[in-house]
Amino acid sequence: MIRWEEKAIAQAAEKRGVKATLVDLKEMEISLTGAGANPKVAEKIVLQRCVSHYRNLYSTAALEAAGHTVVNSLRTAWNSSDKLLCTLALKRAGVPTPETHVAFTEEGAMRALGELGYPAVLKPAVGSWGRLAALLKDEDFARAIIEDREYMHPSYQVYYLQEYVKRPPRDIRTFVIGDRTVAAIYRTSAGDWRTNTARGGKAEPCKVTKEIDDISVKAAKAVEGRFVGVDLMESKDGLVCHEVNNTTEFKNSVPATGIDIPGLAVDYLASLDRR
Amino acid sequence: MKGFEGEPLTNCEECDAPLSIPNDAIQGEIVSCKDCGASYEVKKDEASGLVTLKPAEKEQEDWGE
Repeated sequence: MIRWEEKAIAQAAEKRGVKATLVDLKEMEISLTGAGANPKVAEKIVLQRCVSHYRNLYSTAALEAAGHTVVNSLRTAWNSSDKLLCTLALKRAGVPTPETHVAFTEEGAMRALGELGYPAVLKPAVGSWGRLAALLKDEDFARAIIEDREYMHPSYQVYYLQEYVKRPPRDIRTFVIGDRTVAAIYRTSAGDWRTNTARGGKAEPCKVTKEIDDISVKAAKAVEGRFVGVDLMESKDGLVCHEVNNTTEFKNSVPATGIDIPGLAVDYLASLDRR
Repeated sequence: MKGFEGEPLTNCEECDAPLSIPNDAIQGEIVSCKDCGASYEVKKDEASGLVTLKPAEKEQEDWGE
């Protein structure tokens, strides 16, 4: 599907005379065992924009196997669209990230929460737009939420539990293209502890300081991301990164910052094609 | 629902408000009903140039960024 972002990227490409073809995954199938590139995707460079986690992951795998350079790569998709793997990648790269535990049973989760303390945050390892993310205020509340999860799909019984970082009522979303942080916004929540703009969080411009640029680029590199959205929180000890998004949205960020994110993305992709 | 797939959908199937297709609409673009926000996908027939709307895919559990 073509959202505001994809249309803006297509228009930016047209404006620059960069040949770009929009490909709908719903309309295509990809040979996993055939030789050579897929004829339905003529271009060597593919910007992956699929909104569905599973379609995104597996189509990236198939397109890479067919010889395409996919932005972002399968390795990036794997290590960022899964919050647990992303935490591990950030930790490996030395990027400050909130204290996080994983548990696999209700009792394990309660023990992990005993170590983390309350409030704490429970998120699905794979999930987006803040969906099913829960702020666990105390032990009774946590037990009730986790008991509910026990009746859900087994993927929700991977308990990804994170400290609740004390911060201003906002977080920071930055956009990294190549090795540069091109834009940043503050996301402020309106009556919801979650700041996702998909949940009504408001986008306001944020200056890209050296500290913001450093941690954002380091987080992007941790997952080998080439065009990613990095989520940061302002903790009392400095910035921490809690998430890297491999198919980042910027509909609200372009008007808030005045930065031509789609244009910069096209410039970067065109530069890859020349290499 | 007024119209069905393959025919022009002129009114929102949720709230019956009139739907408008942007002049620069492209194949696969998501447009929303201005009244209720229901989403539709633009389908363009390359041969005839006919543009139709069909209800967009519903948000799935694995959607997002």
